[in-house]
Amino acid sequence: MKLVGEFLAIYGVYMFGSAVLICRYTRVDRIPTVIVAWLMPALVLEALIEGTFLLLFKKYPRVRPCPVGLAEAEVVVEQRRQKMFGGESLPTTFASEWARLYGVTLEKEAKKVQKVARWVLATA
Amino acid sequence: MIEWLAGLLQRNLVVCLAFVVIPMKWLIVRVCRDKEAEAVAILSAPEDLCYVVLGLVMGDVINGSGAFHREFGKSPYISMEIFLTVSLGLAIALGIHVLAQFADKHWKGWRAAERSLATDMKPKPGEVAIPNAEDNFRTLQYRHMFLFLLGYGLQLVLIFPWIHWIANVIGRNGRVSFTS
Repeated sequence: MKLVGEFLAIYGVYMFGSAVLICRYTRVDRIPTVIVAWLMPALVLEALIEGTFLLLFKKYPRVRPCPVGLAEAEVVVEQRRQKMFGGESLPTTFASEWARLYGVTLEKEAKKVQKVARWVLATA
Repeated sequence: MIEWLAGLLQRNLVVCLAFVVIPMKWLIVRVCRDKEAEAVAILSAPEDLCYVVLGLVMGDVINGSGAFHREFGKSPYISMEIFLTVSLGLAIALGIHVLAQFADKHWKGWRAAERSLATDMKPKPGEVAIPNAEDNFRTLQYRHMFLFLLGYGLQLVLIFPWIHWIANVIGRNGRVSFTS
């Protein structure tokens, strides 16, 4: 019982901190964002379990193509961050990593298709 | 009355610390109307908890009849046990600081993406417009926000077992009793 109380106190710190930060510094969709933030621990657990199953059964998640303009937007956000908070310019890697992962997924799928095509040609 | 209150605090150390570190600190900063300091107060809460607990350990260890001396009293390696406890506290502080750096980086990214959504949507003269600017800024904003929350939550996950154990040791071997 004591352990549950302590756990709730620490989770309360998380809930209070995330709610205050989101409500004070976000302009739109505050309430849904706060609710999703409070559910984050459960989402992370679910993602860990799902990731373990995917790794065990070697089923890799399908990567969507990187949205057009994400790399440019990332650069603009980084410049904005530097203006607001100062410090060194950090390398922007999110969009390029996404595009690279998508390329890897495409390569894998192309190899699968090639295998099937070879088998079809061999049996035809 | 004071002893009863002290005993209550000792037995519910984690809850009391959590209450003191976040809502009280936030309230004081809020009263001073310092918006940026509010964020700093909340962002530094897990590190504050860590150092408050480390301070409790250090303060107790220097006392020869303190809770940790009593806890490890039966062990033949009492000095080593205390040294390991303090070292573990320092290692956890280090881990929390690394996670705090991660969280801080994404906190700043989140704020910058939020500001970009308000100010950088239209291209400046001589610049090319960013395709799907709103969607892309929002994607970046949510990415930074959730990575920040992950870093913040992980700090609390890391500190929870540590303060739970310290609170238990102090609660078991504390000097305040309800009977006196």
